Amino acid sequence: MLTPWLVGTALLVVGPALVTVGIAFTRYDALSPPRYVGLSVFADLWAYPEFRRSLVSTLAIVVLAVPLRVGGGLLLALLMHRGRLAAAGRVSTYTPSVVPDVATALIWLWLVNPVYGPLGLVAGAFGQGLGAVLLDPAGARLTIVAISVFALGEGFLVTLAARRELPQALYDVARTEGAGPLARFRLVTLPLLAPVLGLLTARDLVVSMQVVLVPTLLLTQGGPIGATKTLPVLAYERGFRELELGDGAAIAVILMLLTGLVVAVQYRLLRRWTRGGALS
Amino acid sequence: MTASLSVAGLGHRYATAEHWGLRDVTFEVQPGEVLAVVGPSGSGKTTLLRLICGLLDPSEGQVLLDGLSAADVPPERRPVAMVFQGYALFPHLSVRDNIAFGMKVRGVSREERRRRAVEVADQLRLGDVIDRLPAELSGGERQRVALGRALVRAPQVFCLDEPLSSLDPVLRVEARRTLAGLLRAEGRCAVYVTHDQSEAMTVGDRVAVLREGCLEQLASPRDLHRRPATAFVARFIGSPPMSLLPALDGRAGPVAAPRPVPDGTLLGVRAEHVQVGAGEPLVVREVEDHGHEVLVAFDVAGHDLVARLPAGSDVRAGEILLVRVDPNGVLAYDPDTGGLL
Repeated sequence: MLTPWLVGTALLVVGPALVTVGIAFTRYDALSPPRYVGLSVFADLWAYPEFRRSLVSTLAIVVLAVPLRVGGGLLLALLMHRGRLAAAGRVSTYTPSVVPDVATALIWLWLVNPVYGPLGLVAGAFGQGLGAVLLDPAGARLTIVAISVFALGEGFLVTLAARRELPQALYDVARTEGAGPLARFRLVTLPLLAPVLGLLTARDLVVSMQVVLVPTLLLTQGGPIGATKTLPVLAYERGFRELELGDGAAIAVILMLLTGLVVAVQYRLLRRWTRGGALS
Repeated sequence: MTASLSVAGLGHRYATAEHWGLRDVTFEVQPGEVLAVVGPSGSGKTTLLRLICGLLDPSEGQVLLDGLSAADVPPERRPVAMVFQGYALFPHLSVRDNIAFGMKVRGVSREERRRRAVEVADQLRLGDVIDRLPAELSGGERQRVALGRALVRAPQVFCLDEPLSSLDPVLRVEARRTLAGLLRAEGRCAVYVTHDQSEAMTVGDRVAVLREGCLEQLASPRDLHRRPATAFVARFIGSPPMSLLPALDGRAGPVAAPRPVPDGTLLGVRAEHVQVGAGEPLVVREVEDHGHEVLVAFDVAGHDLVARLPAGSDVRAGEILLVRVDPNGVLAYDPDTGGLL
C-alpha cells in the first residue's frame, strides 16, 4: 500500500535533496561537469553582499507574514466557527488559496497599480496618492506579505477544524467560573489549540516562502533594490538564470538548515509551554 | 451556613426550538437534602441544571437561592457548583490546576490557590496524583477531580449532571458513597441528575421525574415506588417497572380494579403483589433469571404481568402457572391522561 509513496518520496524528494546537498559543494554550470570545491561556495556566499541582503529580506518578510498568517487564520476561525454568515465567510476565506499563483500575481498588479488600481483610487479619494507601491522597498515587501496573508485558507481550515473539536463543556466550566470571552480565549482556546498552531507555524515557516515565490518573480523579480529578493528567489536567480547551480544549491541548503533550526526551537518552546507551564 | 434552593414555575425554550425544553417546574430543596432528577434523554434534566447554575436564563419563572431571586446573579457569583457530564476536565491542566481553575480566573493569589487545591485534593484522596494530567488518571480519579473543582468553590448548592455515568459498575458503588457523604455535608443541598432510575432512588432523598420538560412527580423513593402519580412514572420507576394492563369489565385476568372503572382503564400492579401458586392459570411468556431473583412475564390478553420468583425457581416459557394478585396493590390510571384515578 505504501510503496508508491515510498518510491515517490525517494525519487522526487529525498534523491533531489541529496543531489542538491552534493551540488552545494561544487561549482557547476550545467554545461561542464561539476567541480568539487568544498565549503568555498558557502564562504563566497557569505562574502557576497546580495546574499546577506537576501537573508535580511527573507527574515523581514517571514517575521511579518508567518504571525499574520497563523494569527489571521486563528482569528477568522474563531469568528467563523459558528454564526449566520459563517458558511459564506468560510468559502471566501478559503477561495484565495485555490487561485493559481499567476492569477494572484496579476490581480495584485492591478490592485496596487497607482493609476487605475482600486487601492490607488481609494487613496486618491482621501486626497492622497498611492505612489508606485511596487517600486518602494517597504511597499513591495508589504505587498508580498499581503499576498501570503490572503492565501491563509489552509491554515484557517485546519484551525477551524481543531476549534470545532474542542468540547463545549469546557467553555461551560469556564463560564460558570466567571471567565469572560478574553479569559476563555487565554485559558481554554489558546492552550488547547497551541499544538495545532505550533504545527501551522512550523509549516508556515516553510510554506510562506513557497506561496509567494511565483507572485514575487512576476511582480517584482526580487526588486526594488533586493527588497523582495528572498532566499528562494535568489536561489532561483543564481541557479537557473545565472547558471551558478552550486550557489543555488548552497542557498537551498542554507534555507533548509535555517528552517530546521527555527522549527526545532519553536517545537521545544511549545512543548515546555503546553506541558503544565501555562497556568500554575 | 445553610441555603435552600427553589425553583418556581421555571421554564425554558431555546430560541430556535418550537417545544419547551422545560415547562412550569416548581420545587424546593432543603439544606442537607439531595434531590435526584430522573427522566429519559431529552426530558429537560440538563436544561434544569443549566438554569440553576446560570448558564441559561429562564424564559419564565425563576430560580431562588435562599428565597432571593437569582435572575441578576451571574453564574460565578451564585453559590452553585456544577459537575458536568463527562467531567469536562481541562486536558492541558494538571489535577491541581484543574481544581484551581476558578480561583485563577477570579484572581486568587498563587499561594492561596495552591493551598486550597491541595486541601481539596487531599480530602478526595487525590494527593498522590496532583501533578498528573487528566489523561494519566483512572476513571474514578477523574470523577473526583471534577468533584474537587466543584468543592473548592465551597458551594451551597451542588448541581451534578450524570456524575457516575462514565464509571464502570464496580467503581460506581464506591463513588456513590463518597458522593452521598460530601453532598449532605455542612448543610449543602444538591440536585443530582441521572437517567438511571435505580441510581436516582438510592441517591435521592426525594426524586423528581421529568418527562418532555414537565415534572411528572416529585416524591420520596418509597412513595414513588408505591404510588406512581402517572402511568409514565409507573413504567419508568422500579426494576421491574409496574405492569400496566387495560381493564375489561373491571378486571384484567387476575388483576381486579380497586373500584368500578370504565373499560380501557390501565390497572397497575408491582411484581411484589403478584403471587404464584394459587388463583388463575396463566401462560409464561418470558423468563429472566437475574440470579438473585427470577422475573416471570405472564401473558394476560397480549399484555405482560410480571411476577418476581425466588432465586433458583425453575420456570420455562410456555409453562402454565396459577397466579393471584393482591387487590390492595392495584392502582388505576386514566388511559388518555395517564393520571392516577
